[in-house]
Amino acid sequence: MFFLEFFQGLYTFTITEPDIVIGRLVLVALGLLFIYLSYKKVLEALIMLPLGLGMIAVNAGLMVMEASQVGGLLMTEAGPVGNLFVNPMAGNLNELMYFLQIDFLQPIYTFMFSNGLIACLVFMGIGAITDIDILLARPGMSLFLAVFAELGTIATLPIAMGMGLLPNEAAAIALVGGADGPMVLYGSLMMAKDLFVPITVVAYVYLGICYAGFPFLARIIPKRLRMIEMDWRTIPQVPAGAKFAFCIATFTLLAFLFPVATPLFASFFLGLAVKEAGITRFVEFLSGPLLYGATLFLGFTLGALLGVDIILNPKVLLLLALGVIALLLSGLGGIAGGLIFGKITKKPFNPLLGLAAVSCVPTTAKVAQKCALQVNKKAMILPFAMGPCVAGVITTAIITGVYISGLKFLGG
Amino acid sequence: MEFHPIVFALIAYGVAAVIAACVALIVRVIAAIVQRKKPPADEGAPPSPEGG
Repeated sequence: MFFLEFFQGLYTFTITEPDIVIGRLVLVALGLLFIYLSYKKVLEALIMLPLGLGMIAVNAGLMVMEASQVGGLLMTEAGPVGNLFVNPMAGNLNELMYFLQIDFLQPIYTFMFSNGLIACLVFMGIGAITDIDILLARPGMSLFLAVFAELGTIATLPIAMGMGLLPNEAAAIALVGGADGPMVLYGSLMMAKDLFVPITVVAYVYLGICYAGFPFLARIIPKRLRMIEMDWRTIPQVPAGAKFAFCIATFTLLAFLFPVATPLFASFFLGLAVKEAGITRFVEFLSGPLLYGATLFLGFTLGALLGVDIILNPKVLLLLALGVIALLLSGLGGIAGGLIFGKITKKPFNPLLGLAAVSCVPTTAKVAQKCALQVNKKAMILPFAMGPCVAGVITTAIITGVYISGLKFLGG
Repeated sequence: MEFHPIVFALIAYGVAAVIAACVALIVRVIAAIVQRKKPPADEGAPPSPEGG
């Protein structure tokens, strides 16, 4: 058996409990599955491929640490078991300084994750690539649908509390219904730091699955309504000055209302304002190196945080179920909003736009377009779908602000 | 003061809806201001030298 000690990843299988061994193997297998599905473009490769690789690395690459190394993942008779990636549980300053010098992802975690910076960087990039023309041309429609598509974010909170989660944990998992990865990351860091890894992973996995699952949900809408054509040539031109003024005015309003969520608002509207001001060098930086660099490290570090101790937490199964409930309800809410708006408006209106309001820019807009094209090759609704999609980001940010600042009214 | 989770969720929904309406109002106001500042169409302008 001593021979195995040369290969510590394998050796740690012999010194840990069977449930740890099984958990590690399950997570390595899950990581491989994520990589495969990313390669096949079933899941969002930008986030899920580095995440899968991080999961394999951290669960296969466990090693027995020296006795002086405290705070390892698990304690065994042979000594603490840990890795050289990241230790999110580093408590005091000495421990933290130690891991900052040893674990190569620890600086990313300490300086970019635990303060929500990485979510803000991603949001700056998203702001810089977001087109708000249709939101400004059709604000009533966009925001009406977006409010309906928040059903999951709202209804999951009491459901989660009914299932035994604490108010802060329930609010954090309910944000999955908003279908915004960075928002869930930021919200869970602010409200339920202990569960932010599983909640964020649940959010990103489900958002990846959205692309494949929402078309089935869309079949609730009668085919004759899904095939309605909308004339995108009727969308009025919005002056650049109006778009810029909108960014600044809306940001100022939201900053007054929800200071706790202002880092998120500021990041998103900074990206938007830079784009609308036509500062192309900043736009290129935010929408290219910054967005993709932050997304790469977000995925990889999240994967590395998904160690075996996470999956053994009994709350994870509950989070998996609640994540599905949240997204399903938001999808149903969006569809209901689309059907209601279709009845109200006198213009031709495709209710699939309600599905686009589940925000996740621009995935759900693309899903709505895909569903429309399946039944009518001439139904071009993507330009309209971007309005509710962007409005969904704004309503989710508002609800995140309400949850963070209102937790005290839930006893959280 | 503590609210029942369902009441809190409904309040949060209401707040989100009201603020969304405010955002829509901001858009309308900006659109109205931009429309007012827009110069009138130059109907009597002489044709350009290129004829276009």
